[in-house]
Amino acid sequence: MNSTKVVIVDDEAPARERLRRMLSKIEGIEVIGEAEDGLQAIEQIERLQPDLALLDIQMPGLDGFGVLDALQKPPPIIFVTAYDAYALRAFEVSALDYLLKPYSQDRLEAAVHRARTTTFSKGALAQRSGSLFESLVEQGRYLTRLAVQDREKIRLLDVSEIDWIGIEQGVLMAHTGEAAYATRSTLDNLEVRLDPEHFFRAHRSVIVNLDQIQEIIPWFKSSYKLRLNTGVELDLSRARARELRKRFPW
Amino acid sequence: MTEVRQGWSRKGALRYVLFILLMTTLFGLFFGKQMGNYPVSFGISGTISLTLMIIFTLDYRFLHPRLLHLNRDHRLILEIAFAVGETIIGGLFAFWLCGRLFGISTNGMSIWTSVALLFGLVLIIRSIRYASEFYRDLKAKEMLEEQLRTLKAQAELKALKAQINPHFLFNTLNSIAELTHSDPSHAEDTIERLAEMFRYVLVASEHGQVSLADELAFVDDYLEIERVRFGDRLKITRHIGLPSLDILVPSLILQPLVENAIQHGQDERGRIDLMLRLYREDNVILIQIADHGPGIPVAFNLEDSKGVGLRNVDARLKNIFGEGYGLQIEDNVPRGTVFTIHIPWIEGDGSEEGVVGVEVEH
Repeated sequence: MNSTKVVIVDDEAPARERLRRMLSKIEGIEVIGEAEDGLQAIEQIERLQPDLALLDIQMPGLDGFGVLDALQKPPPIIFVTAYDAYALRAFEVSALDYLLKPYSQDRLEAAVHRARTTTFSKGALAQRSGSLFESLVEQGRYLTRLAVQDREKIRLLDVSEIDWIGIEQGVLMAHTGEAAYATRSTLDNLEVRLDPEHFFRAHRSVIVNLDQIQEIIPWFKSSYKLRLNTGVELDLSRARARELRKRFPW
Repeated sequence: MTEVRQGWSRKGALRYVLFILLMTTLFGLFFGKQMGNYPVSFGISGTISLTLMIIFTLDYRFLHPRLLHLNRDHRLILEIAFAVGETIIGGLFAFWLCGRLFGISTNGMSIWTSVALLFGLVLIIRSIRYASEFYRDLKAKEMLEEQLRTLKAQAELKALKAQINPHFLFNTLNSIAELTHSDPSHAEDTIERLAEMFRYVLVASEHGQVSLADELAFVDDYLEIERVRFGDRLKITRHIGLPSLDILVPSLILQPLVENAIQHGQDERGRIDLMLRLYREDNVILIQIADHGPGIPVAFNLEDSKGVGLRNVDARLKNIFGEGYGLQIEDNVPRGTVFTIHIPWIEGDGSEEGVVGVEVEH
């Protein structure tokens, strides 16, 4: 049997050492990488393509959920957390595996065993992460940072920096002032995960930051144009205009 | 307390109408039987009822609110006295008016029976009103007490939760689990510090006030444990500009701020650069904790912040020292957040001269 390649992600060195030491006792496990924050985690997982990732939830920059969201093809993941009431409920809902610190060798082995023997189809995993995110959102935990592509690097945008997000030539782009970055998420996913207090689906292919809207200009056939503070004009469809009116009656 | 009636409520108006109808009917039937003339008797009854109604309404609008501040027993006696007086005066006036209006000769006997009857009726109505008011007050008082109990219990629970942050505890236990393999003496050290911390929380929450020196030692234990987890990413600079640390302060005011700075003051790479500064400005002692993290979120508001710990610190300081003191939150330059505790300097706390400036960095 081929060895299972594992990447460990935790911002605390003792926690990584402990995982590495305990994993070394399990036969057929090979730790091929370590990361100490969300950005490194994305880089390592994309580059090394592990069979399994052990992912801490609370990390500076981008948390474990943000990492999962930013990965195009996430490997099977075991989340690790010290204590997070929100997350625990989300795990129950999504049936994704998790470990509570400090975990025992037995508990770790059981989780790793499950991950190795369960063959995750990509669809099943996507479904599980979908219900994980939905559950987080239900509990009012919205996305605070979005991982985007900045040339070869991955960059973390505070969602408040984003003016609007739109699909251009098949690529989802997040616009901040002058710059625009590609992101791998989908508009449908972002529409759910971004706080509806601030973000609004203006059109089939556009999400706009409500705080950035300067003017709402009547256009043809009861549709509108939204002019942002940056001067950009975006389409507001007739159906969505009705929704927006509920927020800002005009 | 019973609220003072403002304007006419529909329910109140309905009650008045019912009262008048009831009185009119009763007296109309009573006099009608005596006099054998029902139309006139109902006319008389209506007049009496209306007159009394007007008097009672004036009482309720103008006299009653002025009695509310009295204690219940005094009020009861006064209100009964007024009710008696009003009924007699009102009754006699009404009979006199009836005499003028309907020209009936008022034979003394029926007037006094009627007044007695009126009197009994009014007393019954007044008692009912009084009893219902009493009952409502009692209910309101019970509810208020219940609310206070809940609030107190919530505050205690929150304080306890804030002191023993489960996230901190479990992460520390996880670190210790690793240290027992890699560095047993460090593990031992960390367990001792953790024990110190919990002992301090238990003892300090019983005493209201502790010395600033004890608070700082507690923060040091906390920071040393966090250093196990964060390693080189955690940097602390201390400026102690006070002559003495024997000053008494409310317990557990410093650590929540340091913990908050560690949680929210990390930069993108998870580095934490903390500055702890103590100094005196005129008659105020200032304790500052500054970080270089992302700064105060735009929507942050201490009053409704999720950080119960911070709000607690501010509330307790204001409670003890008054509105001019408490916790202040500002932007740090060039980035980050500064938390400043303001507490009064009390003369005689340590020597005035020879301020020892200690600067420690590690």
